[in-house]
Amino acid sequence: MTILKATNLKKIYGMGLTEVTALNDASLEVKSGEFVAIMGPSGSGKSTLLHLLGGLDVPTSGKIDLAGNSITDLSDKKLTLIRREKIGFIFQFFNLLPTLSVEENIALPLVIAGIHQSVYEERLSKLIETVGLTDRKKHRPDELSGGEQQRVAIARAFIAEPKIVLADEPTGNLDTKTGREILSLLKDSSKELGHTVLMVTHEPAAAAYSERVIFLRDGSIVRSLKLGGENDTETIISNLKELED
Amino acid sequence: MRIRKTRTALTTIGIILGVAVILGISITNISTVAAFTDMIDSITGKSDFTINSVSESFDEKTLDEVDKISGVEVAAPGISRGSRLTKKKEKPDVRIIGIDPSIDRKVRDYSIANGEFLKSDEGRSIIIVEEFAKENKIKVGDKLELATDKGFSVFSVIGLLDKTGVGRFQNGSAIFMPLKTAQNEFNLDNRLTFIDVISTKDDVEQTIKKTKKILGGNFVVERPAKRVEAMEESLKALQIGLSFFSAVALFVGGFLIFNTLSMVVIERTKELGLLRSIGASRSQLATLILTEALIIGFIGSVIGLIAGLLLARGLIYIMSETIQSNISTFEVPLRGLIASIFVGIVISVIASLQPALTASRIPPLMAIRTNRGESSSSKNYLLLISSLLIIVVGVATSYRPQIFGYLPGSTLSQAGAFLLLLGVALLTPFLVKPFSSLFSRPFLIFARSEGRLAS
Repeated sequence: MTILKATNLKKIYGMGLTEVTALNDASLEVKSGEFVAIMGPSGSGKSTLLHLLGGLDVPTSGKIDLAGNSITDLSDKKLTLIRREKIGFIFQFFNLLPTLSVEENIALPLVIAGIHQSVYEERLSKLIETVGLTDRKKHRPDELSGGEQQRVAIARAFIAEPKIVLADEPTGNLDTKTGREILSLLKDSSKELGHTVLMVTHEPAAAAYSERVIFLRDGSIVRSLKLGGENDTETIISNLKELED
Repeated sequence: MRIRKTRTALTTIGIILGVAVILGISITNISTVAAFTDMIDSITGKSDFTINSVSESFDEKTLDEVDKISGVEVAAPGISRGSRLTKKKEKPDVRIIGIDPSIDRKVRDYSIANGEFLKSDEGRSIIIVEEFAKENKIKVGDKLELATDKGFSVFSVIGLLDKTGVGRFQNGSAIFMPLKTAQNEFNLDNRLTFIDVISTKDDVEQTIKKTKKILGGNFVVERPAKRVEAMEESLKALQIGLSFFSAVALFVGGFLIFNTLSMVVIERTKELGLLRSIGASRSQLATLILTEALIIGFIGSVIGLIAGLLLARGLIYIMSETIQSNISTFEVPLRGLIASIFVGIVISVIASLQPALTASRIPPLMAIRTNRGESSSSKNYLLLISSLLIIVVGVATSYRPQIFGYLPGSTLSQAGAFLLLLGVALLTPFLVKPFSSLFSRPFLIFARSEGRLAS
């Protein structure tokens, strides 16, 4: 079942002489439960695509359907509700609130939604256990390592049981070993919880954790590569080289 | 707020000051007027008007003249002088009232609790207030030494008064003695300092007019109520001055809140963007900032109330010294309490509206980007014009208050100064850039990098 469908997305920044086309006629489909990576050279429009799909920005033209709802022509109020209920975000720089504890940061989307603690208490402890932070749940972000902070961000993205989780370079600010741990966690959690994950990355090794890689060049989707073989990383690297040539 | 402790504390102080001054003034005014009214009532008793001289004392022959005026029913002469009990440990201040015992009871209420009233207008007998006697361990029959113009004189306490009627005068620290004795002790032979008059009831105003005419310009003839009014009038000037101070304090408090919250919004753009990206609505972000302002406003107002009560104590003490009378009343007006809390909170909320609006406009993408969009130039232009207009009105009002005709000049001058302050504050953002480029030039010559950073 298709959970996300983008059709002919176009995003132009600036006007006149300063006009820059960040995304040009991009169309894609993501199936429910799929783990998809988006790759491409710098400036190819990866992050722009992710922001549009996540309702963080609006396209200049084109259409996005998320779980049966068109999100391109919604009011700010309705788009806010879509982000709250249907989308989870994981950022490169974790973006945790420094004054809140681990569990408070994770529960934040539910607090914003006005859900009472008694309703989500069990789900929260289970999720904290899944990301391996039970001992650290009362700690503040500045008392955690980078990897631990990203675990908090992953749990926060999953807590509201969204239809899709969008991750923007989730390992970009972590060392290789921690990055691998985080990707395994992301993959396992999405499988365990049955969530769809769309991840932007420029690292072939990170993209190799996904089931499919979408390649972007100059704002357009140029290739979609199914993974599952033995040498996924090498395949991704060779595809990227082809695109850069 | 937890992170920016000093800034939040300073912001709260602004509100505390404003609220404290508003409440302090309110309590002081009401208490002073109440005390003054009580004092006037207690000493003037049933009299319809009082005669005083513009000089310190006047000839007692004036009493005969007053007695002859048609419409005067009773004219009670007296003298009033400050003194102290010299033999007592604390040497308490007292007020000596010399009265004619045969007449004075017609004008004033003397309620004897113990002993007896003065018998003649001579002799070394005195009566004092029972409560004061207890405080100073004095009883009927005791000898008291008082400081007078003759030196230290000894008197016998023959009676104690209830703290009602004249017993309330000067908070019970008045000492009544025969007129002739008082005149002698204070070198005021054949002199008086006041005459209290009971007039034929229907004809008080007429009698006052006649008395004024007969006595001439060297005498002040007025109803007791007039003195309260005069007191209220003189308090008004003080009230206006303090109100201006309070307005400035609140303005500064409001400005600090505006500044603090604006900084909070800028510093937390990324956090606020994150909240938007994970589903917080615009109104939730605005509420977040408004709540912060409400907390500051509420805490500031509550501490301000406590500070206001303390301030009122201090102001009442100063006022007691100024009017040379003990103000024992401490009336906390409910209206003043509500008004000061209300003003503190309202100012905080008003000051936070713009930052709250800015916060609500932060797009969710700010969770990723950290640069902030400049506000539109048309809005800046509007602010520039508004601030210049406020300055012009402020200057006009300060220097030419008469252009507004019937309104009191002093109030307008202060309002003008306040507007001037507001205008200059609003203009400051436009002056920062040109001034910084002007003043950074010398630094650019001597310290290029540091100069550029400073500019």
